[in-house]
Amino acid sequence: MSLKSFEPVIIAFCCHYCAYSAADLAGSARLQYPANIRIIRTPCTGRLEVDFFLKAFERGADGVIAAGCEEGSCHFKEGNLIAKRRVNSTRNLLAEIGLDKERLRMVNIGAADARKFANTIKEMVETVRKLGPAQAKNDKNPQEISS
Amino acid sequence: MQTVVKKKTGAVLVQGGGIAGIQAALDLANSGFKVYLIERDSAIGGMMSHLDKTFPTGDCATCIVSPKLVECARNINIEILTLSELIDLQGDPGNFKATVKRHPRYILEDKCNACAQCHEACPVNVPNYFDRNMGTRKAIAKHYAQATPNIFNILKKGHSPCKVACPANINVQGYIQLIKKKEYIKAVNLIRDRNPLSAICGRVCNHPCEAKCTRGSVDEAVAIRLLKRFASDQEMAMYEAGEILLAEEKTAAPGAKKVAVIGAGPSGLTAADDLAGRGFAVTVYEASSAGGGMLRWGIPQYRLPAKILDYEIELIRRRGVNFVYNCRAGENISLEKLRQDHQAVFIAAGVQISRNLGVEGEDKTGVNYGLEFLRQASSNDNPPQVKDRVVVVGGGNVAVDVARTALRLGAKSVQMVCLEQRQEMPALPEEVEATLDEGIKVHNGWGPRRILGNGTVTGIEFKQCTSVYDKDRRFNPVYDEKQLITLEADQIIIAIGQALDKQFTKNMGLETERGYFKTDPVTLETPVKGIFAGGDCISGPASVIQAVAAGKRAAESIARYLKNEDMRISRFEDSVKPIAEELLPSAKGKEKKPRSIPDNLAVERRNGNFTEIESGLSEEAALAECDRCLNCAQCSECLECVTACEQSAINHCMGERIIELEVGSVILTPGFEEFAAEKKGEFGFNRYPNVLTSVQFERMLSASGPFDGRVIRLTDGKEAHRIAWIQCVGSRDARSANQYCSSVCCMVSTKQALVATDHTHDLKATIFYIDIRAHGKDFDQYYERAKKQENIAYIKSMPSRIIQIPGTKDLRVQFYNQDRKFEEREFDLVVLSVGMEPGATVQENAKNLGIELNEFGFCATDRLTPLSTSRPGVFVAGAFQEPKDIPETVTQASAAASMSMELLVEARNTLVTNKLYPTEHDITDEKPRIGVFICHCGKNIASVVDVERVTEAVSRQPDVVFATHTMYTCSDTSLSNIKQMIHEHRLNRVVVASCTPRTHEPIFHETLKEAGLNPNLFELANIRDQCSWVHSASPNVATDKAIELVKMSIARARLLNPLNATTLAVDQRGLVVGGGVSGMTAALSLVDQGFKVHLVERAGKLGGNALELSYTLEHEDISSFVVSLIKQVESHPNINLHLGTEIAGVAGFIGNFQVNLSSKGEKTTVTCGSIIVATGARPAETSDFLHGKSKRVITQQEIEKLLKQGKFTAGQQNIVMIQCAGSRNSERAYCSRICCSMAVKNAIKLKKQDPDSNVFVLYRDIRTYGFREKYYEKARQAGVIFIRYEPENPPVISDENGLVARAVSPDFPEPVEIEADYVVLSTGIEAPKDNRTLADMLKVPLNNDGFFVEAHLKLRPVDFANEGIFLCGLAHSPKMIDENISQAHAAAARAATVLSKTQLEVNAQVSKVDQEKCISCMTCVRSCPYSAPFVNTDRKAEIAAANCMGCGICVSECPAHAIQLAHFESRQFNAMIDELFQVLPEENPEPAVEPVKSGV
Repeated sequence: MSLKSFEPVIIAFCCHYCAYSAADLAGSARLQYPANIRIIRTPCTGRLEVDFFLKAFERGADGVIAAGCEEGSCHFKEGNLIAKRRVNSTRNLLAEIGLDKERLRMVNIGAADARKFANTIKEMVETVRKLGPAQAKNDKNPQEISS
Repeated sequence: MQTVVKKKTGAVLVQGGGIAGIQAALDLANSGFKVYLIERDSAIGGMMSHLDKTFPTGDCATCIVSPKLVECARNINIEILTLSELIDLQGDPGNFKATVKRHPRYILEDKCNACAQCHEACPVNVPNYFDRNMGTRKAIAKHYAQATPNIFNILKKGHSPCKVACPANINVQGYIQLIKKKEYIKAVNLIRDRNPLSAICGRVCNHPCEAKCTRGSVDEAVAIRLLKRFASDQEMAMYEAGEILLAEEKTAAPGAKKVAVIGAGPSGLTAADDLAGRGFAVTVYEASSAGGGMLRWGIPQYRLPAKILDYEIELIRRRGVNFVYNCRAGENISLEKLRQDHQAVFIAAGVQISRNLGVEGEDKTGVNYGLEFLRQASSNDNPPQVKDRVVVVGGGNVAVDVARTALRLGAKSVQMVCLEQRQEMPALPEEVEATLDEGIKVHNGWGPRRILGNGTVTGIEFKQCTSVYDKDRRFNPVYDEKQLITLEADQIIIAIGQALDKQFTKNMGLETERGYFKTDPVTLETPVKGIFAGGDCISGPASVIQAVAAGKRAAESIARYLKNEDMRISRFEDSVKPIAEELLPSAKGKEKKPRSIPDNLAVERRNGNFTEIESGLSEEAALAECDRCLNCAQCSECLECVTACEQSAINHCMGERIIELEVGSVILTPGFEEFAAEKKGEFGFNRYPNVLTSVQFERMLSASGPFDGRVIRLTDGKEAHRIAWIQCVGSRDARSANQYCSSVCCMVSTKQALVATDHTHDLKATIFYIDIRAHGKDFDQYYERAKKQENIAYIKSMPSRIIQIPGTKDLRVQFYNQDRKFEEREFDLVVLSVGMEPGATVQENAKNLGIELNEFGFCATDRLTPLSTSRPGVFVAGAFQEPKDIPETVTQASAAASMSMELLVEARNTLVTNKLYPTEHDITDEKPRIGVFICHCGKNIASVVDVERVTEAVSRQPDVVFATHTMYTCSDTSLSNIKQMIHEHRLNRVVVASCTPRTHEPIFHETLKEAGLNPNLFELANIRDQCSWVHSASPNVATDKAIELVKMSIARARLLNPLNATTLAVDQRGLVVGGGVSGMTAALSLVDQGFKVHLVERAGKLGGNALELSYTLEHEDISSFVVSLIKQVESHPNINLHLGTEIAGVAGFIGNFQVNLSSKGEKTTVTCGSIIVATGARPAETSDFLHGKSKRVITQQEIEKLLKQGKFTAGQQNIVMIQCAGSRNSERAYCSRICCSMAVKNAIKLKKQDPDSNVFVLYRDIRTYGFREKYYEKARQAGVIFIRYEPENPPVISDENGLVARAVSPDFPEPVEIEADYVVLSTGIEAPKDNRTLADMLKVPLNNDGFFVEAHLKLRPVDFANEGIFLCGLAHSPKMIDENISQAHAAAARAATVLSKTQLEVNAQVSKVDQEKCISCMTCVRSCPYSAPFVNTDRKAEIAAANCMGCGICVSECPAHAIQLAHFESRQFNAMIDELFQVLPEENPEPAVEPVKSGV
């Protein structure tokens, strides 16, 4: 696979109250962003398990975004802060298994901030495109990393 | 006598759909009342929906308000009536009859599915008021992106001045907008709807529309006639190029009623066209050899080529009109005969005879008449003879045409002479201009006296005309016979007017009036039934467009006559409603754009030929011209939206409706309007584009605003780096605006400065202020944080003026600085912090409802009954009561709801609806059977995503037993279809691929419930917002992605489980902790609502701090109020009073609390469903300023007591008050809110008691917010001296040689030293130290200052995050007595949402601990923000479902994977991830079922 034709697959876990709403608004504002993103809705980023991130990489994701409310604005008070902590620890874990930690990112996007949503996706796709395909999916024994 | 007690109505009308109205509606509906939520705008949300971020938490306003909007829309007991006004209220408390006026939306609310196709189609851009006119919106649009209800509306203000001015009322704005869209054929059709002579009028109309065009007030009128011509020419060009065909020839149906039209002029042609279009058999009888009348014979070809005329007459002929030429009615065919052969006759014969001058010598050879001359000139075979020197008499269009025609036919010189001065000439100015250009001399102000010559003309003599019209504008020329001129001439052509042929009127035998046929002005019927007349033959010579209008009017009458209908009622002409002048677009700030001018044939190329002079506009010029239209009426009624809407949801003919509602009480929450900044002319708002209001700036900051959150200058679009805010624009300004303080602006600007700093690198913010009023909870800390930022400068000064610098358009702000010196600073942008005002219409409306207003025009209320208006049963909340911030607004809303509940207690649950659903189908042992519905969303999805391919692809997925695609899955028919498919295919999971679950999930959940399926067996894939709309350029990619998203949804759906909400029995008793004013008010509110209450007070008596209170700013005697409150509580049978009692422990959860009480060592347990914390606070202590050391240093509370008891006599003494004593410092960072008002209150009292005493107030910021500002002013007027000090330099009190206060003030050049007789300290309020104990028992948080922390600072001000526990009074934060009273009622209302239910439904999406797996580590207990997990008797974690909010934090934290969140289970997430990366085997399995592709 040449780098030019590499189309990364990125999973974005978006919290229902903010980031998912911003994605909706990006839609109604017809903002265009790369189609490499697959959104999975979650009630709160605090619900996201470290296992979800690892599993995504293991199955073949090239990048993962956890998108929550702005800090201080979490619908569940501090879910996004907990998510930030988990994302950060997972990023360290990625480094250990040889994946660039930039492949996993925590972002905070307010419900009205469609542009930030679109820009985040653009940036992430660019970043991951530069990094190339994630190696985890080629790992012979992927079970190990998520246990 | 027997009195009949009428039963009270269990419904409440809430007027105003802002956050106050929404909160009141939710509280009422959740406590058993029906609510009508009335909103003036097309969506609820009010001012909050405009905001970007909120202070002091920095929450995104949209994020926090949107869920409330959705909740409101989902509640079946809240009926949202948008575009509505409460106009009348009759009846008494408990039984009102409310009259509501509903303005038309022009869109059927139950049909619109917000697909936005109308929006795409609408050509009209108007200033977007939501963004305060900084951007534009379409005339058809949603109020804002998240609008609730989620439907569109059309802005209409009446009809534009051009349409009103047009005699035929052509929809000018409409066709201009269609031209803008390059919909030329549609534009012409819209014109032809009112005028079949589109191309003709595009050339020769005298365009009265342009005279009224609003654009004229900016620069020049829009070139309307030329645009009409442009559109028509485009149509002709397309026809000539073979791109379009002419309409098929039609003939009237056999048996159609017959109409004869006499005359094929504009009037006759129009009537014939209209009537033929309606299916009548029309025959036009024309005396001459061709159609057109004056258009053909009177207008020269250089203005109107015959080709154009022939084209449009041909179009009319093809509509089925039969033309009989060379047939003169009255001569060749009698009227009698016409009446025999036809059911109706329309006489449109025009005027054919030229008037003569009646002067000496008119019979000489060489004298001709204009009409005859032109007629001859138009007939090719016999052109008129033209001599060398021609004089034309007359100043009208015919005279001009004659003169120019004579020139073209070979005259060597042509001169025109008329009575009128140049500007009075009846001819069109542009025609006169062209005449002069062609070398024709015009002599103005001369009347013919005699024609000279012997048998043959040699010249003509004129006398001077000194005036043409008399003072009543009647034609009445006055001559000066002494002033004469003579022109030599070989030919004189007289063109001074036309008249009706007398022979013709005689032949017709109809009644005449001043020489013209007599007709009814409305119907145009002559006195003879069935005979109508119109055009010049009834009015005298008039314009083409007037003739067309007459033809239209006659046609309407004739059609109705033939159908035996009333000819007078509701005619089209009556439907034309001009826009009120004040609603017309303002010329202010509009950029000037020159009017487009067509290329004309050069003068030197006109000689001797009749080539058309005007060439029409180029496409580019025409489109530019369309852009000049200001869209006066907003909606142009071009009807493009009607075509675009596939739901047939648009109806442009909707009218106003009046409805009546039976309600038990009314809550007024109309909100406020911002102060009109242009009233402060010195700041240049509306003149300087870079001066914005704070509301505009808020929209600018908003990511969904007109500039995507970029902070820019409106003049050049460049990022703004130097921004100034000016506070108190329209507030604290009794002389030129409003005296009161608007309460929130200081914080708004602080927030805006902070947010702008985030948005823009290198931003330098400057805030000009009088006092910074940061009196809310946590506000002062926020302000201090902002002040410490290097890039935000606070300058205490009120600028006097702003000057815009020419060229750069920078703004120079002039002000007096700290050193009292004049200074100027330059900025890129200035934001005016505009204050709040009650809307003018709101004020008037309130008066109509019998509501008293206060001196400022706000709703009049009393501080002790802050929610009651002057009319019993009508309550008020929010900014209409007094300017206030969101938390106080929301508090008052809940409080007003509680007032309504108290009034209507016996009617609770009488009018609410509980929907019944079929029994749920048990799917426990079933294999998944999934139905998939792919939505086209009209074109929204299907134009990009190949929905058939998606359907095909997903139908092959395992467990999918049915897959289809539908036009609008959310339409009624589609929803019925889903239900039918659920039954037919025994579906037990449903996946819809359409739009967002945020707006549409509830609709589909409802459908599943109606079909007997658990609503949680549903999954939505958002292929609109996430595919078609955001990848519209790559349909294939979007389709692939859509397939993946749907497959992921299917994978998840497979694992969905039905969730059943469990119910809990509710203990309907309340418990209030604290017996002060707040606690007592809350308890009384609850018992008045019909609940039993435990009131627990630690002290041995009721009353709390209020016992110490003697008077307030507004009330002389507060203690009688407190005493009466205590009496009511003590004597109420339903209040179980626990005095001298403390809370010893709390267990349980919402609906079922067990509270241990301890009284003198004696323990009891009571139960309740809800708890209200009203434990209060206390005056703070201080040892500063010699307090406790000198007897003459006392506190405000102490002096108040002394004053009340009459023990304090001021008697010429010096009293020094020190504000912020011990607060707003590092030790106590917050502002206590009440002290400034308290100091002002006591200062006024002192001055009143002894005007000779000197009262000094040493302060940092005077925070007399809202109407309390009035008393600050009063104190200053009374001579109280206010001296500002800075925290770095606090006052010093010494008591060495008598008490002396020393202060350094930035406002005084020298330090101030005052010999004080008394020093009075404002020490503020502090939280009791032992709040912690109660907080721990309730598992609720305290802030750094020891006050209880509510669930959300803005929108849940009296709730705790923990369900069922509420908060009010000083325990929450320091505040005024009226605010405590409001909060107490609010807490009661919130508690009532729990207590009013016998059973409480517990959220089903909750977490559950697997007891087997739990390792008792208690991580969940620690991590839950809501204290839902607890340790059970097995020493394992368990989650109280009633307390669980469903965030899932515990699930992901649990190290043993022992917890799962229902509906968001780990395996459901994993299934989606797995599905995404599923590599399908090469040999695709056959689809499980043949996909059903119909359904579209």
